[in-house]
Amino acid sequence: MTMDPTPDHLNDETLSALLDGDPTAAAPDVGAHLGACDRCAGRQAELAGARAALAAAPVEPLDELSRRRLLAAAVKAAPPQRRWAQRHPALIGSAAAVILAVLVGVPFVVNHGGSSAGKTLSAAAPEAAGDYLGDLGDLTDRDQLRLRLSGAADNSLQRDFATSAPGEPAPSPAAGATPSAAPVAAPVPSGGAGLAGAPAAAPGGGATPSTTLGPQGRVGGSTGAAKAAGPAADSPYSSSQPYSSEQQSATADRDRADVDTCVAALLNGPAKGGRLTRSGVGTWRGRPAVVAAFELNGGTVAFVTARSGCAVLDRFTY
Amino acid sequence: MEASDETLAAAANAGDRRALDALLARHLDRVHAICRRVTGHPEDALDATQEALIAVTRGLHRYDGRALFTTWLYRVATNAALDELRRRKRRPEPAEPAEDRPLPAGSGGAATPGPVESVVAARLDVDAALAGLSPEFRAAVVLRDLCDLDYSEIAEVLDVPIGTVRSRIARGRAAIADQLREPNAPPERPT
Repeated sequence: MTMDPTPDHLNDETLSALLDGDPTAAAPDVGAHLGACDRCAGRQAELAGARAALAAAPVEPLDELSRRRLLAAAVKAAPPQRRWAQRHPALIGSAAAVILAVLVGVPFVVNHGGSSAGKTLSAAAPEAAGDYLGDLGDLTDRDQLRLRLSGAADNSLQRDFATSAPGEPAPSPAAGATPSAAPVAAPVPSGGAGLAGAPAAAPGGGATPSTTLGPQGRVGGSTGAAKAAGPAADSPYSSSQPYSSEQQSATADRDRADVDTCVAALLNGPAKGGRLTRSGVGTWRGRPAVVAAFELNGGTVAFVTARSGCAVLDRFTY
Repeated sequence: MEASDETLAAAANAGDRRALDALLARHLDRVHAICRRVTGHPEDALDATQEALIAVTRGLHRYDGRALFTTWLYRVATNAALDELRRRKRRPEPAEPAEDRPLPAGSGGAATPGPVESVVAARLDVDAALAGLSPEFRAAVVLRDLCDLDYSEIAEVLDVPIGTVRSRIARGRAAIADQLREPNAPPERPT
């Protein structure tokens, strides 16, 4: 109730709730009473003073040494960084299933041929992870970006199929026919999370600009020997770029780390419940940006976010 | 542009130690303030702050992003402070329920309220007034007036009904108001 046992005056709970804008306390008779009763208005002023006093009363600030000690102890208490595989056991299982499917299915395709066999193989591919498309350049034009998100994915699948090493998942060309429904072979997550402190991405697993889709663009299944062959063998970039392989690897790691961070943020926000299908980096109106497409609510939605902070810059369906 | 709490939390959850460090550093002062006000003691506050930060670090994977990160964080901090009080029991709590206890005297006892601008006096008065409340009442007032949470958020943090939140806040403010009242002011209260 809003009244005290003495019906002429409002109680502290009502007056306090009024200060906080609690609608349950704001009955018309309450407002009328408060406007006419000096006693209740005075008490409300006292409660408002108490509220202000608590809000304004300072707490002894932490000295710098205490701050550092508290933060260091907390960060130290963090669980040891788990490897990518430990954080995503479901994806590892899916990747293993793909490898098994390929080992079993490739001979089947070879022996039986035909697109129907390819579709059967692709249907077994996992859909948990999206296809990372690398540097997609300018992300400002939606129409071009739609084409890149669709077409580049198809090219990527064709390229992977053509260059896959023996024993590696080899997506069927038929799988890329309908981007929205095409199961994309999960990249083997060898450090693909790209997180700070995480293992570096495996050679060939990094950025793959759509503008450099040559044979040198991405060498599936690169090994240490392939890496030793030089930048052209394992570089996710065009060989004309004046980067060392270490620089390229570091850049690719940063790209993937930014993509992973923003994908995680999107999945916790506007893309909650969605499934990542494709992602990449680029620029949006001159700003470094990340693009990520999700299958969401029956459609495909692409988000362009700032690389730093992951604020959504653009959003469209395709 | 500064990353949002939720973005940092997601990155920290994914193993990014720098994001975790930035997230904790951003909120350290507020966590400490909650612990200081709820425990009412500087040393307990430091211990509670440490426990809260560690609890955040180890429990971050349980933050699902549905609520504001700060709501989740304040819950962790409040619980750490209340746990610290239960564990240490350095200062005995009043035996009778808060609802039945008399409010602090209007004169504030031996303490003479200083001018409003005297932050030291204000701090002592607020601490003294809060000390007369049970920890759960203290927490409700602190979450409202220090952290600016609304009633429903406080109810979620403390896991109590909104009506209980409203009552505890009113009680806490009344105690502080009476503590801060001018010594010669008439102890007028609606009765």
